[in-house]
Amino acid sequence: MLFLAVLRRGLYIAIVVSVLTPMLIATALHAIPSLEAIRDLLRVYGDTTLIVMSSEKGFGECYVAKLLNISVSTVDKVIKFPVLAVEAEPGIFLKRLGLLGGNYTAALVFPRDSFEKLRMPSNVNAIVNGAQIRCTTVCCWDSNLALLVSKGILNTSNSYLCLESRESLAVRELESVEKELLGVAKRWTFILILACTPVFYAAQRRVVEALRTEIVVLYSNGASRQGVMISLASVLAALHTASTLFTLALSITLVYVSWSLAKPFIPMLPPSLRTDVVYLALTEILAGALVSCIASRGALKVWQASYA
Amino acid sequence: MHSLERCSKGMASIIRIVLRVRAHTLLFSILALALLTWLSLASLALAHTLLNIYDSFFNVDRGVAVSSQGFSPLTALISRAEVEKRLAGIKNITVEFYLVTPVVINNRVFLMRSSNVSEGCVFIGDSVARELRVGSSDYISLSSVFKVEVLYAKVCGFVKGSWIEAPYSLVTRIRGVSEGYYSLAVVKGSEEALKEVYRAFNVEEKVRLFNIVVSVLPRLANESRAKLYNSLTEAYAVNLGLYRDYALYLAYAIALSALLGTPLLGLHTSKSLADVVQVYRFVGVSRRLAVAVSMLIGLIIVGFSTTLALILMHFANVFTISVLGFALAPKPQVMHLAIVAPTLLLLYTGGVARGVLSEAE
Repeated sequence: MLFLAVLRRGLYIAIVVSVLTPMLIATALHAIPSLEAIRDLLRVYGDTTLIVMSSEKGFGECYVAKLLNISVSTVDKVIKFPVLAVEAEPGIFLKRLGLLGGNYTAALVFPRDSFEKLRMPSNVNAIVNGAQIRCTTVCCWDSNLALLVSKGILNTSNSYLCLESRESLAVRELESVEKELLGVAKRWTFILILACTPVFYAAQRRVVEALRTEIVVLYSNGASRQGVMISLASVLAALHTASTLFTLALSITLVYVSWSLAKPFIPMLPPSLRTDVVYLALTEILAGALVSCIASRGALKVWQASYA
Repeated sequence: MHSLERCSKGMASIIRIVLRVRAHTLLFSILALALLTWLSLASLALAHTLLNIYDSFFNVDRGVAVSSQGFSPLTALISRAEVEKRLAGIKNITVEFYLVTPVVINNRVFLMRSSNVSEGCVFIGDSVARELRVGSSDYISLSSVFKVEVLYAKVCGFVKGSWIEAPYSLVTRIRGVSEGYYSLAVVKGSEEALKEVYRAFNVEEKVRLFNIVVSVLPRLANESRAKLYNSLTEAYAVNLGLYRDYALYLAYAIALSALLGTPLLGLHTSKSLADVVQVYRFVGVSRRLAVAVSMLIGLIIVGFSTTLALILMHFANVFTISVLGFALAPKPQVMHLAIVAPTLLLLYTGGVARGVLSEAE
């Protein structure tokens, strides 16, 4: 009877209005275009292997590596030199970097200016951790430090060198940006739903006030106080749930319709809806159900007012 | 005069009674409104921060930025010689050239900017230093995202900010460009001088003179065209298909719709004030006065909740986004408050007044 009265008298409007805003905003914010679309734009720059230094094993192929200051001696010269020492098979590693690979036991890749300063030796002796290593020199890379690649030079180190493709790095960065944005959107809408709980309460109380006559009729027909309150609470909760689901569906439709309407005029990336919006809808339903228990106590007031 | 005094005395006594009888309702409204106002302000402020992300980084302020078409300053390039050729002969202007590049340090991407730093040195932003746990005189390895090479530099000092400053030559090596190329130039000078700058780039003057970006497009048929944008961020974001104005409208729409539930709260407040209003109506207070008093109470509630929202905004650090080492926190502007507070006042007191009117009948 309560439910029918609500439907017939259009009392659900207040509840729909109260749940509309949080659900609409939640959907809109969780449908922001995925940055995946931008990923294609990055392909313009081609794909290369990048060296990423990391204090723990990162992404891609990782090798133990360390920044060292070593002495390098040629036939007539000894110079101190900063090198990036990498524990790897030189031939394979250098080929991965697009440098000349060969069957070396140890390779030292020089920056061009220092290579010329040393009068382009084909072999040098490097002293690493007190041990002397004979290295084949490889020319050259555009850095301000040399690259020493060999097996057995670094046993332990707390830093790694990882070979990662540029695309993978870019995607990682884009994903983290997207995650940050969505994280803020999620926190924002979550707090909005909490902040709107008083609004849900106000809307439900309005429905209870409007059902005054029906409640009095129920009481006068011998319904128990608790019975009326429970049925009122379930009617409110059901209305709230239905309204939330309705506005969720409406919001999704609105987002896609407005995108397709705006598309011919503004070049926009397509919206991509995240499933997190379902959790937010569930939070809203839960908040509404909790509030309906409190709001249904209004029936008690009606009862008191009519029998006082 | 006498009636005004009586009226204000009457109002004061009603408010006193309301506070005594319905303080909990008012507190409930204040808290709910404060949360909604905070969210509304935060969304506007965050949009503002995001939409001006580059403007603060380059300190364009009241100058003109010259850049080229690109997705971001990290990919745009201009030739110093070409810009200087255009600006030759214009007096009383200062031109600062910046080259920026993403740089990977310890598996994290940061922004690096060219600056007057001695060779082999870098100055690190204090927040970056905290994050990477590096101190003065430490050596750090810098990976490029454009080239395979890894470079190293000594930490020679710190700057206030979230980026790294390095000598121009080091930045060009990490960015993989030849000397003489920059991401953008910031031209500053008097209004008259800036007008000449616009003329030099063949762009029409607009009403707003400052903080406008001239984007020099690539040469088409040996002629470079220029385009004006309202903000540096827009000039780049537009190439990604994001229009600043639309993003701003969306932010306003979200901020204002967060307040859409407040009339319902206003109606609820008036409902809980109903018995007080009825008593006053009974003793002969006019309907107009009853509505005026309720609206005054609404105004007080809005005032308190706005203050509370501003306090929340200042202390609650919930909506910070960290991108490329930057912690982007919402910074509220006076303009945001000027939009949110009146809207809240209108919607909430509108609800209260509507409720009291129907109660009084």
